[in-house]
Amino acid sequence: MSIETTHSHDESHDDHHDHAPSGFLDRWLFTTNHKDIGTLYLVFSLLMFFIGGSMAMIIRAELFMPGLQLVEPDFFNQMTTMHALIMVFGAVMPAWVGFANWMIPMMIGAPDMALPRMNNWSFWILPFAFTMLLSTLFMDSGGPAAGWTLYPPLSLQGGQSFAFVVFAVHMMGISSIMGSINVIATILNMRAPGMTLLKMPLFVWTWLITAFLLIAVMPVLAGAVTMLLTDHFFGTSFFNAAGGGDPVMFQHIFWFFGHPEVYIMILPAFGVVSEIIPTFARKPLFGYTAMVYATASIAFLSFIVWAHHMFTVGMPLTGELFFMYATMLIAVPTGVKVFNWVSTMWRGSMTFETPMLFAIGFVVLFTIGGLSGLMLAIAAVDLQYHDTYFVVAHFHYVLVPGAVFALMAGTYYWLPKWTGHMYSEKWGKIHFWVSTISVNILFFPQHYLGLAGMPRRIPDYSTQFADFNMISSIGGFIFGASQLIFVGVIVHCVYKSRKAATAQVWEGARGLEWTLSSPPPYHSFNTPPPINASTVAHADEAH
Amino acid sequence: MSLNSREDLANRRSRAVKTAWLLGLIAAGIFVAFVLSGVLGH
Amino acid sequence: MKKQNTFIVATAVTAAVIAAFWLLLAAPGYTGNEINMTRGVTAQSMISYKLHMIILWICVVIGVIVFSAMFYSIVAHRKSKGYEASQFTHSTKAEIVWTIIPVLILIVMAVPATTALVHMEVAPETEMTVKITGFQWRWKYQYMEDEISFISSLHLDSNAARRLASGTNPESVENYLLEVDNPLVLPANTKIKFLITADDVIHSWWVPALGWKRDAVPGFINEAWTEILEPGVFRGQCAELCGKDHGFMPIVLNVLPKDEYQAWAEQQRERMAHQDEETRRLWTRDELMATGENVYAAQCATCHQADGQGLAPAFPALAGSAVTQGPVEDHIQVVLNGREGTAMQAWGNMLSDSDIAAALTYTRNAFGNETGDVVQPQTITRIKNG
Ligand code: HEM
Ligand SMILES: [Cu+2]
Ligand SMILES: [Cu+2]
Repeated sequence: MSIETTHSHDESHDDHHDHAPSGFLDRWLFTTNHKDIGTLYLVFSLLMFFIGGSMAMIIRAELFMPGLQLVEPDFFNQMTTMHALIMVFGAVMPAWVGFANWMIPMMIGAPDMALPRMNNWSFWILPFAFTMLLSTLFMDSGGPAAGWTLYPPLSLQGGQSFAFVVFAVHMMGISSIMGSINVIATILNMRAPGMTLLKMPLFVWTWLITAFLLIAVMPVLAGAVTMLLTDHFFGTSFFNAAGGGDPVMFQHIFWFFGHPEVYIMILPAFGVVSEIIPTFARKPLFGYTAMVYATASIAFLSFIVWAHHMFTVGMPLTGELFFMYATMLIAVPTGVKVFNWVSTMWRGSMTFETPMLFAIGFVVLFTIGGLSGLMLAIAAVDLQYHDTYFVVAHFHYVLVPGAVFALMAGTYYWLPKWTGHMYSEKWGKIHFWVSTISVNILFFPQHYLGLAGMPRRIPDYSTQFADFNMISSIGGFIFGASQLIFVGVIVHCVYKSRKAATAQVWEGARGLEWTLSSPPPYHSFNTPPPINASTVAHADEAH
Repeated sequence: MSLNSREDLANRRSRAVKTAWLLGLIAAGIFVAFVLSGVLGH
Repeated sequence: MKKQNTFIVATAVTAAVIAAFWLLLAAPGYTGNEINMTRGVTAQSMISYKLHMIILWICVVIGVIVFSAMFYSIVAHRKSKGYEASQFTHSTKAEIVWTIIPVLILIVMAVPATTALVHMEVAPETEMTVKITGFQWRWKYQYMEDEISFISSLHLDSNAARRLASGTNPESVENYLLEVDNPLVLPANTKIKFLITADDVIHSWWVPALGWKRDAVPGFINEAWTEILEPGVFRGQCAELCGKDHGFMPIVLNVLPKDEYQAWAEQQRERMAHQDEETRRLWTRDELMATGENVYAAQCATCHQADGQGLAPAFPALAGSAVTQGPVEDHIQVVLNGREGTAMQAWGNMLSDSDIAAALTYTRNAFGNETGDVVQPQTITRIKNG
């Protein structure tokens, strides 16, 4: 008996149609379909990339040369704050949820996500959250200007608009938590029979672990901003020294969320890269089990390193030593991952289509960011590095040619599956090369700036920093512009491309998603697929 | 295992809903615990 | 076949461009911007520099090994060359090796990292103490043994040039953004303790040549120490975002040989004594207006603007305001105690009583305000003491 005939009446009918509903609102606003919701998330995040990106362009334009030419310092601070909030919560995180929605059911042999109506909710909260956040820019007291870290007492100096920021963060948090609940519930309950945990693709594994991280830390952020809210508007003094509170306590709470948060943005990237490299090396992933354990240990360690962001606040020596050692330890599982990717390529039979190019770019440039992370872990020297452009360079290496390149790699990799058409390989490659070269012109000189003594989050600088700021800005403008190519390639692929994609798409692709047609049916696996050596992407069983 | 049967799908869905409630409660618990620790630590 | 060659060529060109860029910077002839951490002028900064270089080189070596293996594989193991994929999936031996070796490298790194940290954080017996207080957006320095204290703000030339579209080329301003009116003067070869705190929001006191930065947290006092090995002028900046003028609160150290420092300190003690007398005497209206204009330009104009029009919405206008034209007592209270939750700070513990009196007199009689009031330093002292 097939599942289409098994409607149970206590369930809403709308997640059981075989074809997408025809009305626009029915299709998009009321959708409970994992693919449509995935698309909504991806389109939303692309929009946010461009909004956050334009803010970055304003920042780089003001920093193009010494002196203030374009904006007032307070607006500059609103730009740095908003840029980060939007990129972290509006672009990277929703993009990963979009990938999770599209791919997880297809990868584990399920018809849809486990909780389709909640899925609709968790997406549709986001546009409201970000409208609210962005609207603060137009309010009297302006947008938040205390940095994405929202440190009090500075953040409490913001005006009435601060309440909107706090509520927007609450809504993003609720959206993320619901999305994560859905991911976990789906992975734990909806796998096709025979798809044991250790046969799951790495992307599914990394998302499972990410979802647990999210559930553990988003409530912590919510708690922290709630306390800011009551400090600001209701006269409490959690973080107000004058009233007996402790501003440093906020930093501890924030980074207890914040460090796992940076891994929330990168673990799914590890997953995507671990899918792509084997495909184009035509060789199984090296050390599958080790990859799973490495991911889990990174997640565990991410809870006990938070104070490496606070080496200068004046902690006891033993505390500093503990956080230094724990942070250095993270390099071990991170190293295992990098070595395993290289070993997967080793003695493969490689081709270099756009997804592979982005994946290789990821491995190299993410590793550079990981190595500068190791430098930052050394507390004694971090007293120099901290709050300089060296830190800015570090986290942009791990986040832009790291997380964002992985998002692009994944997009090129699965776009033919999603749309049923091939994208333009030529323009994809142009996009890759322009992005890779410009991203290095943009961020590499920032290492020099930081080492030479330029603090972060300043709208103007002394003339000794002029050369590298100009180079960095030029790289930034090219990088920003080259993302228009990305949009062009996607639009062309969706609407114009006439080259049909096969089900398999890539010669070396393995895994359940490639057994479905391109584009796949509206409900992925109405009948659980057989799980055997030919449908499992990679498992470590063939000893 | 009658994996394709009507009961199976219903079972999986109801298990998923239970998982979801559990996780939701954990999240709410962490939130309350953190705010309370802030209030009490005061 | 052709496509794959394009890839190799593109990679090679990218690598060559990046390598050329690096070599150019490392070349001895390059006279442009600094690209590395300073060695500094304290034992701490030199330890920091050495440790930085050691870890940097370890990272470079790891990077070179990993990337070489990868690029070798990219060149050799290509389908276009007809290379057949082998199908191995793991090697327990290799995985153990590349878990153990990084652990060993980390242990090797941890040893100097630990001794360095202990050296930096554990202060020896110190010979003098300076208290540093961060304000939005200036620093206050108090010499604890000497009753000397003063405020250090961005130099007026930089402050004028840094205005939006000021028309002044920053290149024409000496030490643009890194110059202050009153530098922190310290003796060389002396163990000095710093007590670091803030009055409003968190700041961070950083002079790279000393080798560390330390956060200035309101309500808490952090300790740090230094011993500067050679006289000279050293510059730094606030390193923690502290509001709109975070980029404009530099730090300048003027380190003098011990005897010159003693002479300077003597002079300062006299200045402080003189300041006390100034507070006690009666001032003329003209004196107050003249001093007030300077105080206003140095301290108040950042927010309330030179023309007293403020910057809506955060920084209210003083021209025609209810406070500057209302009862004097209320006006004095606002200036002495600040307004909580805003950038208006409590000037009572920052400026001398005569400076406050002058600024009050000035603002009550400038920008079209015509109260005709004269506020005497004595009045301020009386109100301060309750
Ligand atoms: C080997 C792995 C890593 C190590 C050892 C490491 C270490 C550090 C340290 C010590 C800092 C604090 C520096 C300072 O403020 O003085 C830092 C900052 C940061 N790291 Fe990493 N990191 C690693 C990987 C990552 C990854 C994978 C991401 C994200 C994808 C990331 C994102 C960030 C961000 C966003 C910040 C700055 C946050 C802020 O202050 O705004 N790091 N890292
Ligand atoms: Cu961290
Ligand atoms: Cu600052």
